Amino acid sequence: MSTATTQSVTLSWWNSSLSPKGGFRTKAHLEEAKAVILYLIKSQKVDFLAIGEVSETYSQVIEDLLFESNYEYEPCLYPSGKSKFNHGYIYNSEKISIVDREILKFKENNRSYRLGHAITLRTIYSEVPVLLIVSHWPSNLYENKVIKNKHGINLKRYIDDLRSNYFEESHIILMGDYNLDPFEECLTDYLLATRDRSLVIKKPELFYNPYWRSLGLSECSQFCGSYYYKSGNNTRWHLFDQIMFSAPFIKEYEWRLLEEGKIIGHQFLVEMITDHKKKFDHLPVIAKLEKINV
Amino acid sequence: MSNFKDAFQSGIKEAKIAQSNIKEITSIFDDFNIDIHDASNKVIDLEIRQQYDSQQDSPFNRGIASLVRDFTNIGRYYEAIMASNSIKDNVEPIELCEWKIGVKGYPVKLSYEGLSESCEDKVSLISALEDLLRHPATGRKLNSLIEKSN
Repeated sequence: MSTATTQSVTLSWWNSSLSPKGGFRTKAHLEEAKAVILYLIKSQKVDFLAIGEVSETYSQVIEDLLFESNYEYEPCLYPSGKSKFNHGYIYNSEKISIVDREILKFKENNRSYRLGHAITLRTIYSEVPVLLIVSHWPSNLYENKVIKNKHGINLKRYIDDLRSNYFEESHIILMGDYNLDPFEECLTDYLLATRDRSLVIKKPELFYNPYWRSLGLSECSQFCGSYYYKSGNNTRWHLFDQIMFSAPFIKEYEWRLLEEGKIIGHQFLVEMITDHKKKFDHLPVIAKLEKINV
Repeated sequence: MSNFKDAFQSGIKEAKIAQSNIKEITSIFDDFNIDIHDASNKVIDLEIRQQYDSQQDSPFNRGIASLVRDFTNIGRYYEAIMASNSIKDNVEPIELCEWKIGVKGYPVKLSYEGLSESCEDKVSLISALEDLLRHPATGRKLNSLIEKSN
């Protein structure tokens, strides 16, 4: 039961579309993006927001937005072949600190692919760190299925190495825009992200992916996913933005999931991404963790 | 119905692929070493050597250790590319990067300075080793070895 004294942390991912491929957007787009950030921090009480598609140009804008608040901004801007990592982290520095960072890439035929950014988070509530891997994988428009699957294989390999180096049951969260729906082979067969919560308890190599529950057009009223593609042939909705959890969160070691598989579909956000004149196309996703006090 | 013959053939085939890949990777590393040796006026030698990391400084590990209440055996062994001064024996070798070869040879993973990169083939590995050399931290390490031979 959650109470006012709950020790909790709310995490979110949002692809802001501010700098696709390092480009720029209009001032109006920027102002609306700032409004979304403030909405997530103030109304949704997000403590840690990983924000996608934010080039160096916008780092100062975000820092200014957070001025004199207890939130800080840390950009993740690293080159990777012809592309680059261009996301950042807005976080409540009174609750969370980022204590370690590692860029994850793989190379094939001399092309570099971005797997993710592994950051170790510490909260004021626990000695136990959480490894968060933030990813933005390529769109189906630019990469074939074989390469997409290699992203899942290589990320799983990195996690396996980490588990063998450290501790089999580490607290790991995967989040980002995978440009894949939860049911796609790369996530289910290679990254081993499953809808089956109880199976994760028996097989800790699996990740729990709560976003399966948000699939299903028949249940849809205003929005049916996190990504809206205006020219989609069979569907305009996809669930490309997800937050997945390693077994200790399901076994409720140190942390438990208080909210999971949630897409923030406030009316103003849905209107923003379905408006053909605007360049937004993603809704934020959110998860809430509660510290377990024994 | 078991199919041990097919499994046997498959295992032999995979072993041959792995053997061929590892031979190729060894050859790339040998060329890498020769080029660095020449470029450094024969001062620097490279080798792959097993290292031990106590992991006492790792923030991730310290937290995990506190969770399992076990501060023993948290270290790990790994392989690394080590650079040494071939002229003076008393100069401590320096680690350039962590190096991990896959079961089938590829991928080869290089980890250094907050980067972890897996290379799926020959051309990618060569390119990743060039990136390693171009990194300012690597330049600083190699330069310090060269300066110690004066």
